[in-house]
Amino acid sequence: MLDFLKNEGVSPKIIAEIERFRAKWPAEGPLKGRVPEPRYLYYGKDIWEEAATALLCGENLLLSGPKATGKNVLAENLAAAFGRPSWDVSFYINTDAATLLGTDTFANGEVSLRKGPIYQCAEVGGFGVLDEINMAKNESLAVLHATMDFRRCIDMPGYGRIALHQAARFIATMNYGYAGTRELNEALASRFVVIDMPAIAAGDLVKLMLREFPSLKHGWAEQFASLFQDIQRKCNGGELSTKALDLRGLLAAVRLMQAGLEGNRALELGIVNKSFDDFERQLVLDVIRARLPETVSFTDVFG
Amino acid sequence: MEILDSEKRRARNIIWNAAGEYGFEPDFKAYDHDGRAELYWNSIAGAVRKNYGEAPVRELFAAIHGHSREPLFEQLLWLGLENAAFSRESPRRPALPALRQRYARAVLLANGRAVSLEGDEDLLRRLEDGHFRRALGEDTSGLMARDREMLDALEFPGDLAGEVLRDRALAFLERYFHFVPGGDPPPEKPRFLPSIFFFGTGKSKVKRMPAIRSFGRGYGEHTGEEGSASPSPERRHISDRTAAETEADLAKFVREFFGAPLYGQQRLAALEEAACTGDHKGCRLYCANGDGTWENVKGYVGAQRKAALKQMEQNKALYEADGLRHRASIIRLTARIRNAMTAYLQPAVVRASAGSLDAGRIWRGVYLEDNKVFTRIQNTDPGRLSVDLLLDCSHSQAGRQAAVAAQGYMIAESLTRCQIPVRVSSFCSLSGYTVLTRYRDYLETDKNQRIFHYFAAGCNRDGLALRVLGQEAEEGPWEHKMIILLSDAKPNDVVKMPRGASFADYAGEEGVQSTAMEVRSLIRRGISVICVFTGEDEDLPSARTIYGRDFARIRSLDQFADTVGTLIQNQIRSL
Repeated sequence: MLDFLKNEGVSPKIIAEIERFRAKWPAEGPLKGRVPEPRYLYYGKDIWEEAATALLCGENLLLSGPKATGKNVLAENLAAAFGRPSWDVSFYINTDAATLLGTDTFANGEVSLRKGPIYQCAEVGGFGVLDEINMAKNESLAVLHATMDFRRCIDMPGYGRIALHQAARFIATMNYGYAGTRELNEALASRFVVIDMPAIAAGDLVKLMLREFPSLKHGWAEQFASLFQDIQRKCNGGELSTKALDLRGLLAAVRLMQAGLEGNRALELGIVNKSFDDFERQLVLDVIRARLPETVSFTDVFG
Repeated sequence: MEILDSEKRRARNIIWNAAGEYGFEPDFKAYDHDGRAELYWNSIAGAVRKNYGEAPVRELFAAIHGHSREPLFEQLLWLGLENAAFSRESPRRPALPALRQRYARAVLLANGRAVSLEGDEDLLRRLEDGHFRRALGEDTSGLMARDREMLDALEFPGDLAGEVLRDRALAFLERYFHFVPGGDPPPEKPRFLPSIFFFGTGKSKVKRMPAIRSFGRGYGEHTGEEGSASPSPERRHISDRTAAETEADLAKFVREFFGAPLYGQQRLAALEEAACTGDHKGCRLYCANGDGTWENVKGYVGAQRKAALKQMEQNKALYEADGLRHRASIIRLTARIRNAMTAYLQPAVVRASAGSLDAGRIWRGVYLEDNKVFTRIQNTDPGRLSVDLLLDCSHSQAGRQAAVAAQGYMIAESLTRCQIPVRVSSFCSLSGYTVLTRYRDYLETDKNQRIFHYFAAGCNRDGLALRVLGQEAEEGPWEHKMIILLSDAKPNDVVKMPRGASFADYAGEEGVQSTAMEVRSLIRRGISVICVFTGEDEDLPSARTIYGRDFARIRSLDQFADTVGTLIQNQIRSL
């Protein structure tokens, strides 16, 4: 991971600091299994430097950006780069204190504490990835305030107070204005430093695809990247919802092509059919047909 | 040829996609012979703008506009531009060669079947035939020497700058057709063209060509030309002038103004009987079907309709002029409404294996090994919502008609995208009739464009319109109902309200109070009423009296989505 950062041109000073952090807080025993091994890498030197510096300074990160900007990829990459176990918490409307910190449960005839992911992070110094943090109600998240500010502690009623491990960090992601989300209140937002995630650049998307599919021809990687940007422009222009702006779907489509499925059919499965509105589907199909030939075979795309 | 709105939007999108920008309204859009957006030609139109700029191409077509041979020149220029844009763009878009070949084969097939032509049509067919044979790599030895020379000059290379391309195209027209920009049309013999494939008109002097006319294998829509005759149907419209003497004449007059009735006489009479009571006693009701069809009328009504048609075009044009921001507002408002629908659910307590301990159930854990001795709160679906959008189209809205139409459209489109059934109507009063025009019904999801038919005139009896709409909404199958009114909170009508033995004007404070009572009545019956206030500062107190806190004022387009979104969100929260 650190070699990748060097290749990306991340400042050697920051990489050296990350190495010091890893040496000071190595993941040991069963926690090693929780250190992520990223399938995708986040490309973008500036964002890497900002995010790594913030975490080194003990800050919590809020990655804010629209769909397909690599928020979760970066969060996972950061945990891997820092060599820390991570806990993923997907926030939703019913997320409450019990979901995050822990809840009473009944075992062996007695009530006991079932620890939640934030509690476990705090105990062992993990990286907590709070996915779509603005999906939850603000009042439910108030329990995190003491955990994330200078107090760095969790007070569990009936179970005592624990201090946060020094290596514990929280990385939240949010897509502002996305369906089902709400305004993040100021009290919670002030406990993070915020990175506004930019859309993935065409060059980085090409790199990502070539790494994921080494036999993909460079020209075709560029075409798929341009196709993704065509859809992105259409979303920015307000003509499409972001359902079809699906990087995971694009990669899945290329994977289907690699497995032998004809290119346009693969793109229908991976991208077009993500929209359930007939007219939107037609618009996405037009974008594809205006860029790619009517049939795209394995031998066209892969070398 | 009538082109569906959805195909127009598709064509626009293909052009924007190829141009790589979304902030302009294309002057030219291409359709196939079935009226479907033409993928190849629209991609070329976008590529032309992207590679050669907007100004040179606009100037080029403006130079030939109005010339007697404009139909010929127009198509020849597009052949030349197609050649240039294709050369430049095809290395970047692998789809283009295949799309071009398919189009070329279709052209050659159609030309092979065509009856003998003469004049400009024959020339165009020969050149087009030669051009697309070359595109397919076929033998063109059959071309006449002059045609070959013309084609060589017309097939512009891709690497020219926009201004150079424009000058070269004009030089081509000058050399082969003695065309001089701004000069008089040359005195040549008239060309009567039967128009099988290319031109919709056979007139030798083209002054006003239809906006949608034959182009290549299908049709082209030209929206940026001065003097283009619009293909859109005329639209009804009202006036504050009473042009009828008797009751029957008045009914006829209203029908002619507003178009075909929405309901039969029996249904209308029942609605009228139920609604025209109390403060609205003595009022008449008319519900128009806002589908844009009318009886053929002339005179004053006809003239007013022409004015309405002009307004409709202005509504659309102003919406499109700021299309990017309008569309962005729709996206934001849609997200806001979706959020509200998903976020504000009804809490319900359920048994669970973890959560808050329910002491009364602990014995079940000990004796029955039932670990569900805890409770949790889960949120449940509050039921489905329908929305009635009501636009005040009285004369007091005359100065902001395009803004009201755009706001109505954005709200309706956002609700539609959230799969919320929405019905859109406008209301005004004329000669004692309160008229509701229905633009779309709850499930007519593809008719939001009709909202641009909005045209302001007459008075407004807000209370009666709300009462009728409330009655209709209650007949719907949805659990929750909401009315969103776009109004300036200035009720005013000529029919007075009975007050014991006397009467009071339906205007000013009395009108406001009466409307406020109507709103309270709807709220008591479980129908939420919110207002998007479109009026001036002086009428804000009236809006407060009528709608309480459930109104919002839109000061700029940028805050439209957030303001209206919050208003709707608050209502959904309280369902």
